[in-house]
Amino acid sequence: MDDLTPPLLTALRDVRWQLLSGRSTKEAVRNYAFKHSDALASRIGQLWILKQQGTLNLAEINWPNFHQKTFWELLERGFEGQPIVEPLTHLEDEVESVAKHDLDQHLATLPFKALFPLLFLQFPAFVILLIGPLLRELV
Amino acid sequence: MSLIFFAQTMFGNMFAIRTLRKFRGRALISTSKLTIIGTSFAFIIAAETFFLQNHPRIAVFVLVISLIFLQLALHVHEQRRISLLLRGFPVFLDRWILNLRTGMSTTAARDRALAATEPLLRNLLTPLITASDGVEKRRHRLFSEEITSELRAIQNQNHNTITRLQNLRANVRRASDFRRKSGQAMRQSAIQSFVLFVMHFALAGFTFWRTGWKNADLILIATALTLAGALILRVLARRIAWTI
Repeated sequence: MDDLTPPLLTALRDVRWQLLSGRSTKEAVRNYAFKHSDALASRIGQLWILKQQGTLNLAEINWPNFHQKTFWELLERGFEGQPIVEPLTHLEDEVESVAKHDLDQHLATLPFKALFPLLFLQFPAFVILLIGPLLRELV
Repeated sequence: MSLIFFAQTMFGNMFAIRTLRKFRGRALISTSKLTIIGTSFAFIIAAETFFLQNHPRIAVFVLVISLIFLQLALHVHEQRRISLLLRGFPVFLDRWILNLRTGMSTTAARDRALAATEPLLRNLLTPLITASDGVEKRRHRLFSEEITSELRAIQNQNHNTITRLQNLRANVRRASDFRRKSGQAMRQSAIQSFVLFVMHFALAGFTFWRTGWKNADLILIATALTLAGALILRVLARRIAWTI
């Protein structure tokens, strides 16, 4: 079955799990960024490198949404040595609830979206098979 | 004619044996089941070639379709088996946690939980959780890298075991719940595509039977349109507008 889990939820689960397994925030973020290949992972990886180099300017970062921004802020707190497992768990709950809402909306609109390929591609295919040979014989 | 008959039977059986051997190697379908399937298939191949010996082209076509069907049927059966086995994994963790809570050591609790697990899941889990660190590091057939590395870590570090197992169980259950929900979209589109494919090929077969090769171009265009529709439907089902 295809896994359609949103990247932020994957990131939260991965980092939280690693923290629970006894790894530091730095290790967890580095492992996560190297292991995954989605847009969020590469962004976190870039920010991690900039932070290591000391050239990270938080004001210049343009986050696509509030949840990703909160995730990075929590990671920053973790880099400073603060405990972040509990806040990460709460954020994961929030993200999961938003993701479920997004999924419900997607499932509700999918039948209408599915009408387009049905009407413009698959229905004409049936018409071609049914009427095509007859028309050819008539012509 | 008998040479064609012989070649069809031989090649058909060789492909069937190769397919069955591949599935036996993965060990997710039992050998006894594969033996039954293999024997039935050998009989089907012999029957096909015997009854269609005067129509070698049709016989080859039927044989190829049968071989594709065998591959597909075994794949579907294997996927069903995997999902059933994965459902048993949190139950195994439940038992392991329960044994630990009743005062058993990590190894004894794990072995007791393993003994109560279904034999196939037990066989797949045993090398994973009994191997020392550094052994059996290749990709597991059932579990993701996170799960396998966590199980190894639990096995090698004997502290905080209950909490780590509870975290693992919670993560497995949450991930599987979400995956099931998100899979609904893919299932809807897959069912729609399947029904349309069946109708399309039935209609294409009927057109071909009625008019022969002279409308082959129309059948080809219609098949291309149906395939394109299924592909677009799949893309639409996968493309979720996440707000997070």
